[in-house]
Amino acid sequence: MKIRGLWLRAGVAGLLMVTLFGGLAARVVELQLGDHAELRGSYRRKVSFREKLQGARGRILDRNGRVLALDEARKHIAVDPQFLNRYNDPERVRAVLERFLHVEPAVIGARISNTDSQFAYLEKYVEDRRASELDVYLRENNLRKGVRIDKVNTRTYPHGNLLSHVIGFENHEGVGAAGVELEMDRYLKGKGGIRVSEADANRVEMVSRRRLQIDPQDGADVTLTVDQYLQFGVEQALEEALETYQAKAGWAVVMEVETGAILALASKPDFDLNAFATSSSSERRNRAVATIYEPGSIMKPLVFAAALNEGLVDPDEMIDCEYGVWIHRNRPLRDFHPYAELSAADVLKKSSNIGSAKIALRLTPDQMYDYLRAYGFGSRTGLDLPGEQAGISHPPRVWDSLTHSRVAIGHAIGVTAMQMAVAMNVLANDGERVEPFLVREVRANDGTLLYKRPVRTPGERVVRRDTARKMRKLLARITESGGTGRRSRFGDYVVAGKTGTAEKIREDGGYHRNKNIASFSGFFPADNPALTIVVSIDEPSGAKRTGGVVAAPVFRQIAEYAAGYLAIPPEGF
Amino acid sequence: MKKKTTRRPPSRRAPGRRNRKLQAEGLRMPATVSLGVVFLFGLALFYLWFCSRTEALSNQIRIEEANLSDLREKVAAEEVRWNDMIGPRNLREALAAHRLDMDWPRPDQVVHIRDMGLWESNSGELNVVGRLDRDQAGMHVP
Repeated sequence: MKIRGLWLRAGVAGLLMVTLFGGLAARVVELQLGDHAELRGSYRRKVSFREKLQGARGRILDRNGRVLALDEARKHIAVDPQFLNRYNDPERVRAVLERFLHVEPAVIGARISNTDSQFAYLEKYVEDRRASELDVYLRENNLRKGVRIDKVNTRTYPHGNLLSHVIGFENHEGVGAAGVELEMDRYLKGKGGIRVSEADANRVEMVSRRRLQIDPQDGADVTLTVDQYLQFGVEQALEEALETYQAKAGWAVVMEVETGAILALASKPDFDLNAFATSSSSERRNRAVATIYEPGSIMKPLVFAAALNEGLVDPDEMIDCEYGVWIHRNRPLRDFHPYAELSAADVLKKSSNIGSAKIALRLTPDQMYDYLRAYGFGSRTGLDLPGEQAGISHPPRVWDSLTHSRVAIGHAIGVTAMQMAVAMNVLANDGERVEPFLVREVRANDGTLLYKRPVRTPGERVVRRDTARKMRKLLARITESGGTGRRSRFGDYVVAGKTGTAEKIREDGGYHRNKNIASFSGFFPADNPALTIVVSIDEPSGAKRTGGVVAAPVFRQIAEYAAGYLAIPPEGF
Repeated sequence: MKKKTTRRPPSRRAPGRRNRKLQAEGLRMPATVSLGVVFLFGLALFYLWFCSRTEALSNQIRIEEANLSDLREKVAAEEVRWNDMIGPRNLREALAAHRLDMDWPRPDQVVHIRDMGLWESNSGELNVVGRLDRDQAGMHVP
């Protein structure tokens, strides 16, 4: 009986064990092999994550490879006031933050002491170095609790305002919104990658469970033709002129004669690229390509060259300048200084409106218009920068009775400084028009060449080579003693160029008597030109505010700087 | 004297029957099964080692990825600092701070090496050495 009871108990226990473990085993098998999509989904949702990987945006470099724009990791410094006040020493933390952050101490104090809040930014976009120093200091002193240091990628422009209109900026969505940033966005933006993986309870990725990883591709580097040091010289010259003449704005273009490469392109006022959101639309306006204005007398050599090219004028022939007032089509045309008679060459040198108009009238309207189009007026130059305006150049069928004579002196036509530089460059470049460009090449992150500007794109011959050479000699006379552009000369260099003073158009028609744009358009060395430069100063003040007084010295300052920096000899290369 | 011989009594076992007392107790596992078990055990050990190695490597990968990211950030930050330092405005200020009054060289102090090549070979330099022959005005270099 005793043995029998033992067997019974053992049997029952065994049965229970078998039932229990058998049930567990069955459940395990069922869980493993059964169809539990819902459970699996729940698990996946808890541990799986899909992360978009962002490739860094490409850099923008100047012609020497100096960085003008790049992506940089910065830090947002924030606090959790509730947590900080409960688990940390708020007074000591405040003292440390005041030392490291560029924020008013009162602001830091107020945000830390606001215990109703669980999150408050103290400073955004802190440089990596400063944030790291703060992090280390807080950790070493056991004050890190409640302080958040969050990483954020941001576009950085190391030189602030320099080249602001050329570089442009990336908006808050990470898309190029102006300048080269916009124009070359397709190259600059990286390709996104993706990561599908699982994280542990601390939300740290378990790399061994990574199921998919497509690496992001960083954007390509864009190399420009501009030179940051030359650009700086140009911007300095403009700033000084704006200050001296209390002018409203100013702009300048420096172009390599043979290739059309833009070495500097400046527009003032400008803005800090790192704080573009605080700039006004006026500051963001690239006036060198977007402001259309009547060029005034800097147009004269272009029309003169057209007449010379057609054999309609001889530089030595005498032109009747009507003692300063000429009634043409019942409207008077005046010269700034009255002359009885001037040689055609002196018409240019003295900038006679009457002489220039008479020479222009020797061309037929169609001839004149064809030349204007060939110089590039009335259409965009093709510069690889957004926002360029085409200017205004009406065809002869809509000209009024005065247009023909007025275009010759830079009225009744609207141009941009870039168009003016391209047109003047025709005379510097032996009569051939070249397309200006800013982007020299684009290279992928691994060095692969994606785009390269051809050495020369087919240009258009506008005037004959001998005509261009004659014009260079005539333009060099303008900068001699007695010429309107004498203030543009420097050192042993011979400068060829033309001054221009254009009164601004009133909104109700007619012209302002006291608002003008003073310009100088020229190139150097005159015999063998290397650089074409156009300078315009908008609304200079003072008694003398002509192109010769205001803009020619700016040209000289820029040209002198460029000649020294680029080591251009007086006789040219 | 006759040696006494003791004869074992004849076995009463029937021929073919085994003596249970001489047999080892328990089951005797065949060699192939033993090998199989050892193999499976080894496989399990290898699996565990492999898993722990994978985990270790994945942790290493995560650390290296973080390091790479940090280094990239540092490079970018240094690039910003360096380009800021050598920027034209800072250079001018540095020259002024050290009272260095510098000027461009006179044209006669500069030696120009001509006809060195075209755009391809003179990166960063003004493209004025490989010039077009001006007598071929209107012709384009392909």
